[in-house]
Amino acid sequence: MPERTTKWRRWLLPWLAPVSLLLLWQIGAQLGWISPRFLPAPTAVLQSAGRLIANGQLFRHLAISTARAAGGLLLGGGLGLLFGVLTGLSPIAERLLDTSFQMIRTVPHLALIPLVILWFGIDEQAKLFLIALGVFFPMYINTYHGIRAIDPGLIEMARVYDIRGARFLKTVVLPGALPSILVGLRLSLGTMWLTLIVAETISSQSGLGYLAMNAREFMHTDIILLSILIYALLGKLADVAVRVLERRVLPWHPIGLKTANPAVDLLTIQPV
Amino acid sequence: MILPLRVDATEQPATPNNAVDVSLSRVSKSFGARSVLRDVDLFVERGEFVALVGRSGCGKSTLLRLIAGLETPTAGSIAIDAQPLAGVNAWARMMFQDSRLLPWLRVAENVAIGQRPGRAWSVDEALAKVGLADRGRDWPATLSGGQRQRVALARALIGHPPLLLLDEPLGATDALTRIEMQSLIYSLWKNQPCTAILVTHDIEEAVMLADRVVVLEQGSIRDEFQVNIPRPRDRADGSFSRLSQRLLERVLRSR
Repeated sequence: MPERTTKWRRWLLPWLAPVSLLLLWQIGAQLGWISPRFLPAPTAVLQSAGRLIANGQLFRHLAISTARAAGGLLLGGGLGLLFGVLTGLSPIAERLLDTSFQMIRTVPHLALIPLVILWFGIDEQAKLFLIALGVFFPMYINTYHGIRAIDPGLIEMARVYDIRGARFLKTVVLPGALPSILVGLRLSLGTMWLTLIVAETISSQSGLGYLAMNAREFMHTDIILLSILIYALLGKLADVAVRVLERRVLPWHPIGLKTANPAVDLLTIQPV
Repeated sequence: MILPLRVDATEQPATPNNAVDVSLSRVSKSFGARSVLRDVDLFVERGEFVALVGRSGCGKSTLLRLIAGLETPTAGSIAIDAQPLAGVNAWARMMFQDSRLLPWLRVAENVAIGQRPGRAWSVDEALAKVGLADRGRDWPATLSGGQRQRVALARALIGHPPLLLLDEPLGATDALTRIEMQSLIYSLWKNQPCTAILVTHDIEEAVMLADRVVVLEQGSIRDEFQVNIPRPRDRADGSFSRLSQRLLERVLRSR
């Protein structure tokens, strides 16, 4: 197969399914097969997007949601990282804290919503708390396991070569746990969006979730679709950001080096 | 007739000026109820190259780890230049069976980890000595197993340590690489003298490198062989193969 066609295929194939679906949807809506109240045409969604951008509403809600997400991620993720390093390094801290953390982790954090509303009411603190709580555990567990999974041989080498204290943390522990910490970050981002949507849908006067819930009251299906689309975009954007970060901070990792396995088409392998 | 006078600096016997002696007296080590070493007495002179051989499980690696200060003896004492050893042995650098390079540091940064205070090689010099002068900027993951052991050797020797501990450093390399690495270890040790203790299960390797071969059996020293073959040694040499054969038979006889 010529090099050129394979390259085109590689780029085009992932887009084939979504673009066809979008086309089918547009045609169905225009021909009147789908009721606009049930599912407005993509162009209608685009139009309402233009309207909301023009009057500044979209940007306002987006900014509020992003600030909430970032605040919760920083708080919960930061604490998760801190406690993960602590329990990863100190057996005493592990004995003291890990069992409790693992126990709390099994409770779905969204189950706390009634309690959180009782504690904080429905203002910003409640959302911040919920997001931070949801983000804490993936960050904590992956940091802890990342440190525990560092090759004991390397730790022994560090002892023989007199690498101690802050230098040990900087040259052995943190770089060794970093791949796992980044996995924790990616999982955290997933929980972050999920918690944000739920929190904003339940009780809010602003944000993307509010935009969608408000639109439901007025039967603005196009705006509901728009907010779902934006959630999808934000989620994808966060994922791409972490991937870029991974490539930048893990240049030594076999995934980034040319030694990683190439993708093999298992369907076309011929029997010998 | 005037003979051409050839002075080769590398051929001059270097004095082991910064080497230390190692003295173990009645050292025992047990892990729980399992006794691994019993009443080991061993004295290694300054600049001496000693090999510890024996069947697997005879306690030779544990003995090396005790000298490195990675384990503490259950009984007895270890002294370096008559100073009792406490904690990790600050005189020693160690090479392991696996290279134990930090994968997130470049080759040159890994070598720099071995630097000690005082005048010694630079990173570039150390890499050049092991024949990897052009690989300093590479990641360890891109090197072959033999190259990684070379980097580990450069890391161990860059600071001119008084004591070099080698824990089966070539156990995982292929036969050709092993022979190359043996002559590399020998030439570096000869030019930059230090006391060296090698743990190996390869009898020929012990005869190739060591001044003295110590046979361990069930946690005790049972035999010693002085290797009086002039260096550089040749495997094909008659005295070499005779001694290797004698040593092999001695180790095979052990339980």
